[in-house]
Amino acid sequence: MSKKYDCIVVGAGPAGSMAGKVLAENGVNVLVLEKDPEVGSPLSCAEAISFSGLTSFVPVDPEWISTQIHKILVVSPSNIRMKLHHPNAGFILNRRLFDKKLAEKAASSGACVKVNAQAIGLLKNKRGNFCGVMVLENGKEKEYEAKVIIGADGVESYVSRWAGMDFSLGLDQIESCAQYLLADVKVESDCVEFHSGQSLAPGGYTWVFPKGDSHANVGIAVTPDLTSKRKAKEYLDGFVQKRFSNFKIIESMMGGVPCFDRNKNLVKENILLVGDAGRVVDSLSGAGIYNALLSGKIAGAVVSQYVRDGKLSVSFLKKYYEELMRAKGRLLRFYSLCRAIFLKMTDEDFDAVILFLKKYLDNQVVTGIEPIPLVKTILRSNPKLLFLLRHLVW
Amino acid sequence: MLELDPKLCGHCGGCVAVCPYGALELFVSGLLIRPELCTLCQNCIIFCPVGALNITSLECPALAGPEFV
Ligand SMILES: Cc1cc2nc3c(=O)[nH]c(=O)nc-3n(C[C@H](O)[C@H](O)[C@H](O)COP(=O)(O)OP(=O)(O)OC[C@H]3O[C@@H](n4cnc5c(N)ncnc54)[C@H](O)[C@@H]3O)c2cc1C
Ligand code: SF4
Ligand code: SF4
Repeated sequence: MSKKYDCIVVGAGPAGSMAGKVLAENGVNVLVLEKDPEVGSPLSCAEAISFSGLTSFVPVDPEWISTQIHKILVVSPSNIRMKLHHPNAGFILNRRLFDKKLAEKAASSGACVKVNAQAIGLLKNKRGNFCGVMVLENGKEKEYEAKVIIGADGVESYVSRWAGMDFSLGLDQIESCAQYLLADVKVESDCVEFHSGQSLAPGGYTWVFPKGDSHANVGIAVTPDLTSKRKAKEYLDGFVQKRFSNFKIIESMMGGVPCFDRNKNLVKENILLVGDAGRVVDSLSGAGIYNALLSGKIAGAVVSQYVRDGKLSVSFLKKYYEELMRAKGRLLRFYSLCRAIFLKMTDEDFDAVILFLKKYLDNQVVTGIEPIPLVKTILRSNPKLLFLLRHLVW
Repeated sequence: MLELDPKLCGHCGGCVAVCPYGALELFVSGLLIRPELCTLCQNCIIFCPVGALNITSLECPALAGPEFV
């Protein structure tokens, strides 16, 4: 006989562990499955998160913080540089440790967390409803039953496919990313850098995030549709050569960042998708850690309510999507629109925008940036961008 | 046929996400290509950040017509 749980979470990234933690804290009998032998590795992430984003979920622990960020440098295609000072901009995490600690928190709250356990299919009952997960656990096939299944299995989400909620991402709906962990580099230890330009990173940007001790995450995101077959890694190699005279490559990683899709279903019957699996990502920056934590937390709370009540109909679970959209929907949609404009910008447009911002923000101390008013001001400053926006809206 | 260079592949799963035919599967041990489902549409090749996927021949079992005996 297969073992029964109230809820099974597939994937122990930030989204899955957060959901598992909230469920366990609410007394729900939850199983979290992780295919890899170790939570947090392998990892594809530049590890940046805003101060407010992180502290709204967990108390900060210096153990999994690599550096604290107080400055942001933006560099335009023709090398116009704007630097902001922000006393509490954010953190570069040690995500391997962060992910591990979050999974440990879920486990110490009562969740059963299994590593070396890959979900390989969904189970259906005689009525055709999803009722559990097939798992390859330490090389053996097992079956676990559950009332609710949460897909937190990242960008390649199989749960989403098995449930018929998504099949594949278009080449304009995903960013192709490559990153190095570099040593022996000269970087400001509390300053993140962003470099833009269609020849530097078509449909994306490059970043330099200091990790302390002359180390930095240096990476690139490009829109594969726009790269005319050159690989993200080739663009990154070009950037690294240009930016650093001295460096040593310690680690190399790659990955895909999905773009938010307002039409995507995140709930189907008793299946919920969180984090990258649900494409809950800021489409302009590619920031997904905060969104993974947020969607995991909301899904965990809604499923807890559903399980504890016991009499609610399965359509109650749609509340997850409604609450997520209430909390973040406007910004997620807004960033999607920004990305659409971004993809059409030329190097001259980037120069003009950064030059405009430099007038107001260069070397200024800012304490909080409201993205929507800021972008509105930029758009008003540049008639061509406003024209692009009109084109996209209608 | 689509071929993977396992030395370049970092198991990131991005190619799985862009394959419209479910022809790629990511296991802990590595990426598995299912030639019987792959139409050589090249989405995964265009996506892969490191160029780990390549077409090595135009043989394509997924698009082969019925065989006449
Ligand atoms: C190069 C790069 C840089 C990035 N930089 C940043 C950044 O600086 N800041 C930021 O906020 N975001 C960044 N992101 C995005 C961020 O990494 C993701 O949005 C975030 O990791 C999503 O969390 P998640 O829990 O949804 O998924 P993941 O972190 O992808 O976790 C999914 C987990 O599910 C497991 N899994 C998958 N399939 C199965 C299965 N069948 N059975 C069991 N387990 C399974 C995986 O092994 C994995 O552990 C970056 C992404 C990339 C690629
Ligand atoms: S996209 Fe490339 S690196 Fe990533 S899993 Fe596929 S083949 Fe490997
Ligand atoms: S070539 Fe197309 S069908 Fe074949 S594996 Fe790649 S994405 Fe899938």
